[in-house]
Amino acid sequence: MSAVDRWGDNPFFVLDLPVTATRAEVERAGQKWLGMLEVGMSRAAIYTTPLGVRARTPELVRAAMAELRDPERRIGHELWHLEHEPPSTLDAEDDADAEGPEPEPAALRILGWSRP
Amino acid sequence: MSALGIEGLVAQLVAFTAALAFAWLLGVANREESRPGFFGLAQWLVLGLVGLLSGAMLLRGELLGAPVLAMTGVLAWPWAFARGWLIPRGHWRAAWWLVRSSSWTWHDDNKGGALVAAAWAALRAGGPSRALAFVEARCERSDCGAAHLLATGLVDDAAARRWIGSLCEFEGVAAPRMARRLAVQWCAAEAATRGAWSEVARFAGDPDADATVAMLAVVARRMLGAAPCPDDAELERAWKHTPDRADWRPLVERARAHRPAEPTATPAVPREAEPDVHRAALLLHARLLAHARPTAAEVAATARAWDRALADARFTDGVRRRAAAVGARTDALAILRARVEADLVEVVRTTGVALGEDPDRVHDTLGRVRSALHQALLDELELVADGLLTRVRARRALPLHEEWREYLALRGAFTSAVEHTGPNLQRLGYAIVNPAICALGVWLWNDRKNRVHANQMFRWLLREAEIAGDAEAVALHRRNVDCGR
Amino acid sequence: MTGRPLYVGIDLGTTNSAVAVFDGETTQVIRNAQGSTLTPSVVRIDGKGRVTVGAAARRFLERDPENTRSEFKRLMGTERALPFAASGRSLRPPELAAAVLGALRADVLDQVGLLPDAAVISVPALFELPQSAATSEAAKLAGFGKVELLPEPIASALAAGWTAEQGDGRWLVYDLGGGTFDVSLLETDGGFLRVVGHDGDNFLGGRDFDWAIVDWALAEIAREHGVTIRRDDPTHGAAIAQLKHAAEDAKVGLSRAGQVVLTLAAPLEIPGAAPFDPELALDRAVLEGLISPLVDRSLDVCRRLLQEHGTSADQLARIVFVGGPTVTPMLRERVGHTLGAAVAEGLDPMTLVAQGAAIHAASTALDGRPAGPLVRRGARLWLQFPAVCTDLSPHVIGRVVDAGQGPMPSNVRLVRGDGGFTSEVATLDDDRAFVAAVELVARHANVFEIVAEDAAGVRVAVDPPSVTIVQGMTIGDPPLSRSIGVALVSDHVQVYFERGTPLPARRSFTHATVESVARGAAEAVLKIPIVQGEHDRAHLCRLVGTLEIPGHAIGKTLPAGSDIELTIELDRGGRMSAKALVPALDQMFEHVAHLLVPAADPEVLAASLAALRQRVDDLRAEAFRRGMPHIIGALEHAEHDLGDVSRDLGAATGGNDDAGQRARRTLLEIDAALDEVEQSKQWPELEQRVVRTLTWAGGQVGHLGTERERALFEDVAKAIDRARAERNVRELQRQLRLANQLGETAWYRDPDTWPALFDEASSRVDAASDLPRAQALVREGKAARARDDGAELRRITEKLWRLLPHDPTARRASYDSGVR
Repeated sequence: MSAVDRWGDNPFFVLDLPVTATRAEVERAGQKWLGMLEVGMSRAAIYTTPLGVRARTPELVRAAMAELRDPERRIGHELWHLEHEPPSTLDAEDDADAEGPEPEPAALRILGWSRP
Repeated sequence: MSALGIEGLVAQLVAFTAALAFAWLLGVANREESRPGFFGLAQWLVLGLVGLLSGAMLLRGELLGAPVLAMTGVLAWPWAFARGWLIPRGHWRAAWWLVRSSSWTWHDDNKGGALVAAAWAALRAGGPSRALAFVEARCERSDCGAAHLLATGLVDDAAARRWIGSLCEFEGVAAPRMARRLAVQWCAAEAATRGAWSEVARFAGDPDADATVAMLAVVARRMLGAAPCPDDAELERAWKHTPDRADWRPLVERARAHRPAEPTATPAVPREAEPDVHRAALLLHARLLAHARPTAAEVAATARAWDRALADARFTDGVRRRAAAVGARTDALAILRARVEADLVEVVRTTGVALGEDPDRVHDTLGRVRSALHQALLDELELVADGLLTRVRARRALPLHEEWREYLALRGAFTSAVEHTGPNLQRLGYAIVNPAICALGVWLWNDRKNRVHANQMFRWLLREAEIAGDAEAVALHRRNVDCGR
Repeated sequence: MTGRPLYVGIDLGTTNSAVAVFDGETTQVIRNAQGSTLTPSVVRIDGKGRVTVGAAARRFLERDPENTRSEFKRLMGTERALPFAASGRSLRPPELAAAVLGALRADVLDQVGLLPDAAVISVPALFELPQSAATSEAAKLAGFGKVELLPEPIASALAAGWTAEQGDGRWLVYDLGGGTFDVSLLETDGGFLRVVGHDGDNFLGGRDFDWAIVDWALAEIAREHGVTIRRDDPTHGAAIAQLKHAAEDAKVGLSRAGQVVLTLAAPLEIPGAAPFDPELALDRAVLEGLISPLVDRSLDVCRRLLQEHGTSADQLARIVFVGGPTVTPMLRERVGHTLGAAVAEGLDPMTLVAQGAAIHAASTALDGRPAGPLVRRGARLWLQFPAVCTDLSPHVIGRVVDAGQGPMPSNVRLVRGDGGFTSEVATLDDDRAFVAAVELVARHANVFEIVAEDAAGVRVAVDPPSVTIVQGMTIGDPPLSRSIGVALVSDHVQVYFERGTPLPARRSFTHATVESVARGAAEAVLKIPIVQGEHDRAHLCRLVGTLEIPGHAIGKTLPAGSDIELTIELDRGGRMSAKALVPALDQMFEHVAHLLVPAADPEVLAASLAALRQRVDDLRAEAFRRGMPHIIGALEHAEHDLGDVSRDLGAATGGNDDAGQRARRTLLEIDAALDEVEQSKQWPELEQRVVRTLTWAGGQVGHLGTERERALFEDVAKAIDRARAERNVRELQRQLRLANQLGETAWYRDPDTWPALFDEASSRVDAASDLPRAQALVREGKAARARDDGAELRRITEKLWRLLPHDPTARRASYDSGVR
């Protein structure tokens, strides 16, 4: 599992809960998301993280509930919780980095190397 | 029709048939061991005679001379005809047959040239499966000269860059100039499509670079702003010498308009001073993960931010209190530290950031990341080398181009490992890759008689042994390389 | 479907099985035709092919052992089929288990009037995938359409927690079945149940108590009657079976009386001796002496579990006993006293698991009622809500799937049956779905009427018109009992699912191949072994399946380093499926082979036993020689376990497959323990090697090395110091190799080196792969030495080396994994 997935799958993001959520709130949120996913409610299908929007699946919700039931694991996830930044903070810097020479996608085609 | 006309016709038919037979024979007769260009010369002599005869017929008003002259022209310049007419139209089988007689352009590797023509035509035809199967089957059966590698690269998108990129290392009869020119052209164009202009610029001084590659290199230097940065006049000059220059005009215009950005050396930091050290570290961490091409400075800044957070008593005491409150007994800070390091190692490995060596800093996050990276790269190198060695010892042979791919893969893993860390890994890594590649080379040389490739491997091992300072290996590979001379 | 729901839970035991049903409020243990809540897990097939199950079959266990089979649960997941001589049939363990499950299903029909279609079946917590898969297969064969598996300790905890009035705290479920022992540490916090951890011994159970009594009886018979009866002698099988049955009765008798006499149904008949009827008196003191080591073994497991989770005796609120053998008074007292916790009273240890399984069936909405005819009563709703839940404020989620001819509802509210609560009005969204929060009355079945209205505020009939949610202790998804992962070529395990992962689960990882697989090559195959267990090294885990990518099935050669995207999926019944996508080939491979517990062949086991004995001897000799007393204790422990294996091996040779499986398991554990011993002595050895290497190589480089080599050696020496400081074994080994290499390079420059190396190589010439050529080289070498031609001598020696055998390559321990 990549670092991005590890962070993106943080149970607090998946269940959309604050780190202060009680055990009952965890179970309630999990049950709600599972039910919404099961009946196919579109607003349950995605969740947001500091690294972008991700797809919420029943497996992820179940795993998130199990992770937060276990205190040893829960504390680890609490340390990776980050209130979502407004996208501009990260994106602006990325845009600055992306300001490099543009590629020339037609180069192989002009020389006849690519499929027509 | 006059008697002379009939005789002339018969003479032309005989000459034409002889020329065809010769062309066919020459295509088949060419072998790697033969002298370059010998049969090509013979072919031209015959075709020249037929060409003169048919030209004379045409001057005498005999119309039959026209198709014969045309056919002679095609057979005299088979590559030009295949490249200009058959390949763009995707006539792969015709291209293959015609280039089989192209011993002038492809010297003794006209079998390879024919494969390149077929593969290229197949590519232009949208890759019909029969054509690809035809090329692949011949590549597997072939003894895989440089041109064969080029053909294999064309039909295998995934490995193309590595195969074609390695082709220029070949020397002598195994690598006709045409194969090398095409390879350089392909590599430069492919790098341009990725926007890897620094790679493109490196082709400027390549002896096999043609006018197109030269123009791309000038554009690249302009894009990068690398000194000496070409001015508009140089751009225009390079463009004027390029074939199909109309197609390249938009790129040249873009290069003229491009103003290289001033390099920014400031490491990433949160925009406002962040009083919460944990949050500051998380923000930098998130930025690093979201970044496609982070720099070593950004990795170092993130590592430092975590060092600050993990040394901050307010944060660490808070974590301990919280752990006790939720009933956790494990050391949450140790787990956090391990995860941070694992993430940073992954970022460095996947993005290719070069961290270099710093033996004095081993106890902070960056030092531990370096150490973990060093271990991971060596472990992986050992696995890859062990896989190759096991197969070689068990004598499980692969088609030659696949053997070459394995060699390139191990070599690539070694090179990238050295780039990631530094010279210490060069010595350790060489001790790992040398036995495996050497065993493969010896097997290819002794049992499978693929001396071109084996020699190439020994040359590389010799170069790396000299850099690593391994005197035993230098002596051994010097002897091995000398065997190939 | 009509009436109250029917949630079915089954405890499929080694000795006895039980079934219970739950209707949403109360559990009921089902009685069989004989009026008992327990059905012996015994199957008989007579000469006419008639199948008898339960007490009727058990009566034939001694009289007709060839056609009556018991304890087949222990063989679940193996490929061994058990023969029934008279009928000529052979049944696999899942087929035998299916016969028992079928009988229990029929009992439910008799008592409740419905033939259940779904059930929750309990399995030991430490069951592995092949065993779980076999249990699921048995349920399907018995006619269950849907089945879920639940670890036994969780089932018993659910049943105990459902009725318990006590508050929060940690408690231990001590579950000693006929063949397995499970102990689980659970915690209730705010009414929520959590499995903190579990441990156990898959080969410790009431059967072992019986065998201890049998062994005692055999010793008494030998002493009193001078007749030797051996458990590993197949001709003594009938006598052993008789004694075992008598031992079982005696054990039960001693839980009520102070002394019993072992009574046999018929005189013992032993080949070569006259039939005789031994009268053996057994009292509680003797029984306690016999089973004491077994109880101690179980207590060791309990202590290990408590220690692992930082729970001291005073933190333990109570102990729940589950399983027939736990009715033994001595055991209850001993365990309660040793662990220092109160014993929960008033719970039936024999049926607790079945009751818990039935409660779990409710919490996962596994209604066992057969589907009835569909009756439309309004707009059809697809509802999601917990049938049983701990939370007092759960959500009801619904979606209108078919409005029918009537108006489309536009909002919904739920009204509790007692009138004490009405939810907020939930408006249907664009998906025609709603989410409504409701409030429950604790420990009650809460019925909510669904009140739907259209846009004009007119009430719309919906189907179903109401939902029922029972508030009480429950646990979410069934957890995985043991971690599952993929064995990598390095012998490490890439864990896919950790122990406790809620089922169902699915995860994907990308691996890389380490060797090329040539297209069409018959012998070339890429193996991806899937293993289960908690060890970080693959060869110590159980191989539960192998996904293979054979050369003949691939479209083109698969180069080394190619990505393989592997996805492993587990369903709620513990069934595993795996698929591997190979992007380079654009092909998908799904065939998982070998999902069985490996057979315990006595000959193979004997060879492993001998090899491990040798390993223990070698380690002990080395420990004494090098003065490493700290490993002697571990070796003694291993030696003791090897004694157990030896005894089990004897029983396995006599036809006891169960003992064979136990021997196999113990050998694996000893292997792991010896690996640890070897690891612990690795560092001191490396330290010694550092001193030796630095001294020798440093001397050589100093005398004969070039300037560059001396500088390199300095760098290496520094790196060695760093690796020592970090106690980094692998790095130290690599740097030592480098130092050695530098030393050798310098050493080869010494004119005296090559004659010595030539002599050494010549002394091994008999092992050369080409003897005549090697002998010729030796002659050439001698001539070169005579004329003092050092360069030629070196060339000849190097040629000679190539003819001599390599060191044997390291054993590929990782089940021949082809991925990293």
